[in-house]
Amino acid sequence: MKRILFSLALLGLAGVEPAFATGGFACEADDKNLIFSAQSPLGRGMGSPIINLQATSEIKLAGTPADLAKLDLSKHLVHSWMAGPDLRLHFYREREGNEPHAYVELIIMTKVVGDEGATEGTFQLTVFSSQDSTTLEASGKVTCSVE
Amino acid sequence: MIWKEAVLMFKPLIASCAMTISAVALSGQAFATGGILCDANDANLKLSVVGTVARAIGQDISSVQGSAVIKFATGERPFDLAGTLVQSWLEGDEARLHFYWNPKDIEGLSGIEIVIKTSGNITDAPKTGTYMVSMFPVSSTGTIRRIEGMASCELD
Repeated sequence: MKRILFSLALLGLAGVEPAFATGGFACEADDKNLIFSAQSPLGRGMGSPIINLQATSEIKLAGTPADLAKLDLSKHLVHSWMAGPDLRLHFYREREGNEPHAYVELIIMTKVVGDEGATEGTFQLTVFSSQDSTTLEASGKVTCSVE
Repeated sequence: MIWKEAVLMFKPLIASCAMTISAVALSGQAFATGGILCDANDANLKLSVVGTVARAIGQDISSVQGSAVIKFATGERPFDLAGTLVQSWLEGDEARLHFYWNPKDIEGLSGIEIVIKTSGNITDAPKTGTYMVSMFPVSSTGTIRRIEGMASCELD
């Protein structure tokens, strides 16, 4: 079922991508602290860049500022690494507007398991707010599929 | 010759200045930026790249400038690496960079890739590791040529 959903997600994204996008990946995490999903086609033959990434997070950690609880992270990928056994994603999003500084940082570190394009690993979540100088942290499990 | 020796002698200083200038001039937010400098220099590859690292925004790398001189059977060829960074990873003690470009003027090659993977957690010491150059043939039946060697990266 997961692979079907993944394929449908990529088909939806592929409609706006050039023909060279022939693969992609999808990741998800869902536990008491975080609901996270990300999916993107990959440009084959061009260094496999991530193109048209779609990523969202819902942070359920107690004390998370309301404006950071649900975020679109699609434009906030600062690093990625997909080579060999690794699939890694590093998101960073700061609070927008004139409110005191705050940010969400989410680091996904996974490795290939088996030979069907599945990767497993962990997320590290950090929520910082300068308003009350709090840093909230959580970690958990992430799974990804690569095709 | 004297100039070459002087450049080698003052290389760390030049690198530091380059990173600072890059950080200040290109970011507009000097207080929140640093730099990254990666080097490789052996018989097959001479590479030097510098980039701005925005510490306040998740260590995002931008304004990457540099060049790679690759030794081919027919001689050395220089390549401009600006705009060719397709992946990066700066986290913990690791620094990784992945460059890819299409060498339009080299017959038989569809792409060249350079992957630099370094690590090291000693403050003020370069992270050391390896580079791998992969040269992809146009023909699907061709052979991918690979070159490996040592590389280092510095962050400030």
